[in-house]
Amino acid sequence: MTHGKSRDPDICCVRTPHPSLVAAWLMAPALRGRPLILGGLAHERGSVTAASGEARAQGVIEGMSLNQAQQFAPDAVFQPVDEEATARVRQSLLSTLHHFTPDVAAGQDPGCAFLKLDRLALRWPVRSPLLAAIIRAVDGAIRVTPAMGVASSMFVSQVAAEQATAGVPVIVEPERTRAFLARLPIDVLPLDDDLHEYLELLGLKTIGRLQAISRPAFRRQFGLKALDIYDLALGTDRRRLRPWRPAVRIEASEPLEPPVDNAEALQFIARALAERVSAALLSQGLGTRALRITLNQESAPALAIEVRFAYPVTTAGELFDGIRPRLLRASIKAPLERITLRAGRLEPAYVRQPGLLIRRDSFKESIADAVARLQEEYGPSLVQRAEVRGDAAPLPDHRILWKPA
Amino acid sequence: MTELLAPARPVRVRLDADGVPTHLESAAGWQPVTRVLNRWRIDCDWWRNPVSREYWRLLIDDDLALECYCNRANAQWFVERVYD
Repeated sequence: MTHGKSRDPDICCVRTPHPSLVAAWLMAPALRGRPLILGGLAHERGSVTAASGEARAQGVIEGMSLNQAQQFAPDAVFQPVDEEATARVRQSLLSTLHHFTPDVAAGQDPGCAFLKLDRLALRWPVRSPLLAAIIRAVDGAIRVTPAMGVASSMFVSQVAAEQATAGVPVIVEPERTRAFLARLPIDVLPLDDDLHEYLELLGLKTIGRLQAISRPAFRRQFGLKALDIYDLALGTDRRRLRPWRPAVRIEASEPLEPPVDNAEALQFIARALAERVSAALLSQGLGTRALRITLNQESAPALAIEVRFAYPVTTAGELFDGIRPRLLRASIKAPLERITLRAGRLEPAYVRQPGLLIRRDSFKESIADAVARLQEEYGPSLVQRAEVRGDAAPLPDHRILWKPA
Repeated sequence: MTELLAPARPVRVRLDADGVPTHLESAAGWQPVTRVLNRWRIDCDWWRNPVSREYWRLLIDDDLALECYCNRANAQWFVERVYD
């Protein structure tokens, strides 16, 4: 099947379970396949934010009270939502898709994202390997196989993704859009309660029945506002894909009034800035590999200090661990008027969460960072890498070759 | 835990009449060997880089356990491992 036969846009909807569920599975893989209810503990007041397929099969739905959910699924595991991990999952999904094309949009439904495939025709002249590559990439990033739908509009692609099973995309060619929608119940349309009830009263239970009405007749009957629904029923979705852009940098700055010439005070302020940067990173599920500290001096040129991290770091503690030794070594010549922290080289902050989004080995990366810091502090010869030579004599100085780490 | 010294550190050793180490020289002077904890010989790699060593695990001054070896080819002594 070739891609880009017509001028209709080619929109792909990638659908995963709710990111909070994905995050919970990544943190505790043993929860996969078990009824899992997120939103709080069973005895708490509150409602269900997300429920696994197994919990849904027992009648649990989102929005239901936790208490009620426990009555439906007494064996289910109840957990609060890990908001930070959820943000990371969402970020990771979007940035994974962003590697394919910049035309990526986050759906309103948290487990849903859209890609415009039109610009990928040169790189992927045939659509099926592209979709397979997207499925592999998503699976590699967040360990779930997405369901995918491809169609000429966001709405139809989302409906197609809802119909699809994980790993097997449903593709609706533009000329088949109307027929594809016709067999579906009107519930797939974003109807408000009144319109839903009205359509049901009129016996319009499928989109096909709705399509049979003419546009002017529909408008006369249901008003101008409802025309958007009518258009969706025909597969016309006028919403524009609003591209999601990965953050490029995050910055926090603090004027120092009066100017600071005290190292202790400077560290205190730097720590507070690190916390602000960390909060911004956490909220977006990001980590930084490069920090720039700019120190504006009262009567001397500004000092710029670079801090590099071996893996994307997020927490204030990790950021400050990188900042502190460099601040102590900085040759500050005059009182400081302003300190600015800028986090660059932003990436999904998955590697520090054991088990979360890991294909990479966070342990190795943590070691790499520790080695880099030790070498910086004490010189490169302190830390060495041992290479074992299996064919050498079984003596430490023969079998182990020491190399720079 | 043991600390492996890489490369092994040359050390001066005093021996008794039977070739058993009695003292090791350190920065603090000559330290007495209070006990020989173990002793073994290694002869390997004879077909390419022959290695012939006599290993000694020694308790120094009732305090510190070390693993030393003597290269049998040139009678040079080395400390290779320090025990916690």
